[in-house]
Amino acid sequence: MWSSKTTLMFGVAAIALMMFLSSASADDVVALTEETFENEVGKDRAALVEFYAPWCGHCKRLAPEYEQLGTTFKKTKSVLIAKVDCDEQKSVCSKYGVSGYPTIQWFPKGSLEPKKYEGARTAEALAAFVNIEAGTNVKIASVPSSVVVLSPDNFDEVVLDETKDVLVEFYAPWCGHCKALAPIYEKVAAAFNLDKDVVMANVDADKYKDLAEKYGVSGYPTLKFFPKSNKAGEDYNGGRDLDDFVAFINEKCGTYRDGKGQLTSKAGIIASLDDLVKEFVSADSNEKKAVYSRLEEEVKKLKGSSARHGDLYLKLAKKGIEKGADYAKNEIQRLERMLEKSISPAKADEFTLKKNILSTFA
Amino acid sequence: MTMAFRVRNPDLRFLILLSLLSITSAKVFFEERFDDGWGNRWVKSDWKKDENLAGEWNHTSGQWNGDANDKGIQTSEDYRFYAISAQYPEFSNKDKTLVFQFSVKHEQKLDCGGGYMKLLSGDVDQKKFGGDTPYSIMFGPDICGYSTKKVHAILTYNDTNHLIKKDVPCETDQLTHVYTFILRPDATYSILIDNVEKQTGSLYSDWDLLPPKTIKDPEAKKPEDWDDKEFIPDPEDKKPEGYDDIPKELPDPEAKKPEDWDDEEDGEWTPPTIANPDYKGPWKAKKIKNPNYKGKWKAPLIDNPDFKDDPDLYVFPNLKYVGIELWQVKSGTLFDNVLITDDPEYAKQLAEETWGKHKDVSFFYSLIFFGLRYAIERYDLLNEIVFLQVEKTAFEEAEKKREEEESKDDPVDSDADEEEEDADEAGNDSDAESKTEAGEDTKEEGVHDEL
Repeated sequence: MWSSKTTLMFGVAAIALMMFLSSASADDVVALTEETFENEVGKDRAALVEFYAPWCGHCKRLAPEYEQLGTTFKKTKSVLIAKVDCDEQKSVCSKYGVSGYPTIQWFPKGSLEPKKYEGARTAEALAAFVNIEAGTNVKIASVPSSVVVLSPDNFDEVVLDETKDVLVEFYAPWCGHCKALAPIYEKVAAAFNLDKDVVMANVDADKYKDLAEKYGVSGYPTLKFFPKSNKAGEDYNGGRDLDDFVAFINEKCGTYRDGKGQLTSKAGIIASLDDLVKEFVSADSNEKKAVYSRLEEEVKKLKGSSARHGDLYLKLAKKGIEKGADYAKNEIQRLERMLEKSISPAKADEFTLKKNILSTFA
Repeated sequence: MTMAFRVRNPDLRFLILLSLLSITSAKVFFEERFDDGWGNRWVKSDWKKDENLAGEWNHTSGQWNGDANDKGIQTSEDYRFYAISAQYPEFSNKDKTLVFQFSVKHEQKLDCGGGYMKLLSGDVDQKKFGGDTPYSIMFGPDICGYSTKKVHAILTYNDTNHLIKKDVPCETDQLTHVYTFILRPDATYSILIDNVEKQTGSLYSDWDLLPPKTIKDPEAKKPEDWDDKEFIPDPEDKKPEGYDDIPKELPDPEAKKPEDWDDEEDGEWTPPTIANPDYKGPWKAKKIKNPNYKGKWKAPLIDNPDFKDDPDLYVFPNLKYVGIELWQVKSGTLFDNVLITDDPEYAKQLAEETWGKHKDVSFFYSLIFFGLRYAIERYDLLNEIVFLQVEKTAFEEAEKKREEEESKDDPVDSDADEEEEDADEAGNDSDAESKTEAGEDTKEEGVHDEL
């Protein structure tokens, strides 16, 4: 008896703590009550009010979007973003005819006669609605996109550029699969942001029907790959998750990225130089110079990114001669320590390439 | 007993008199009450027999009924096809009202299955009657899961089956219900359940038997000066000075140069970047309502050159059979009192008689059902009360203990208030868990092609 009561008491305390934590994180949206509703709404500023219930699944899905909306309009004095818990404030909700959850209603300045919001339940759509009704122009904070947005104006310039490998997503705004793909596609584009030869692009094929027709697009989303060597384009038929896209691009474009955009442990390594490197490592100081000369001869034959990586081989080999036997091992450790710290992505790439090449010298 | 008989007698006499009057002008093309000679009139099909999927019919009044002697035929085996038909003298409904009526009872608490019947025309081999046999009219309830609970009213015109475009819900309980379909010479129709009209209208508007009378003018073009943009960029809204100079990313203020950094080897250190919260993407002017907005443009309607009226739209010239053709996952559907006539009044009386027999049972059954539901609700409430009481007791005990401890120090009243509020919230939260979600979903267009 005592133990079950104790357990129950802890349960009550845990619930109370959870409620405190959840309320603490919702500061930007004003929670209204029966007492405060008519002090805040219908006065000197307009209000958008979400009527919700804590147990409502759709309300939970809306919550992060609505919080973002609250944050966005926090500094706007003429608009209040608010919410009402209909489980606790029953009289307010019945007064305004709330029969389903969530219900979102717009109260113009000085009015208690609401207009029901029936648009999409995203922060962008809600902000657009509020901006029109309130006459404001508040913008949602925007995360920069790495995807190139195509239109008839720039399609040929980007897609037919023979110095670039271009993957194009033909989408339609109303297509559910396209919406599911969008965040994944964005991540892929971000991962290859530093590879200037790789372009991730999309085009609204519903809006630009001529482009869709020209490239034989009949369903959405359709993905087509335009490599440097084939600007007629080929269909992408691989999987549509992050790893599948990354693997495809690495294979087709000669890149070495992972899903987070970091270089893999194979990046920068040139297989044709492996034997010479082994020979270099095992040679004595006099022979090292001779092997180094042969490395120089081989590097001159390389092209493209391999040429740049080959130059790194030579630079690091020279350091090895100058600094002695432990240079490779010590330098790898130093680079690893710095890769765990605050460095820019471009520098991280440089360090990873060095580390990978040095691993063949160790 | 004597009293009951006396009450019955006047009704019966009145009914007989009325029937006699009706018979002088009305015509009954087919009537089946499933008395003991029913087997001579109905032919069980051999459809699905070879596959051992043909179900057997029971001649019964069912487990609950208003009159044990009033029998129908009931499906008896699960996961079976049922196909049975009866013939009547061939007739045409031209210039006549056609009434097709029967009663259905789903004793099995049906979750997925049909309860409809068909009228067939011309010559049909009744031993081969099945799902592919052409029919003229299909009418009756169909249930499957939570989404399908409808009354079918399918009319065949020019060898094509046309579904009614209206959504007519059917009854889903386990009691007898009478379904009535009335088709009139003016091409209007009615659907009744237990003599209550559920839908009425015209064949022209509620089926797609003929091409539409009017169509959008294909020659019409939207005028060039027609403005259908509801919102436009506000010409007064100017891009703030310096907007384009806001960087997408900022140096991370938290970043520090690593200790192992070698300027000579690694070059000058630059910090990584973070997204700039002040960056808002490309400039978009505020939207305002377009003062020139004229609404969405619609092409004017013109008479459809493909439309050709058919005064005999409602006519089925060779009606000859009535059939039941079903697949039942869960058996137990009982059919009775099949009537095909040109007299809606007679049908109404038969429906009243049929439904009236069973309605007392219906009342009693409903009483049991609602009583049971009430008991369940009371039990749930009792459970909740017990839970809250235990919770309250635990809270009071904790409170008491805290007060005892505080008596050694200065008491703090505001703390007590806060804890009380927390307890109330906890109670509400547990109460909320039992409620059904009443969410709303934004509709997505299903018209477009998706991979």
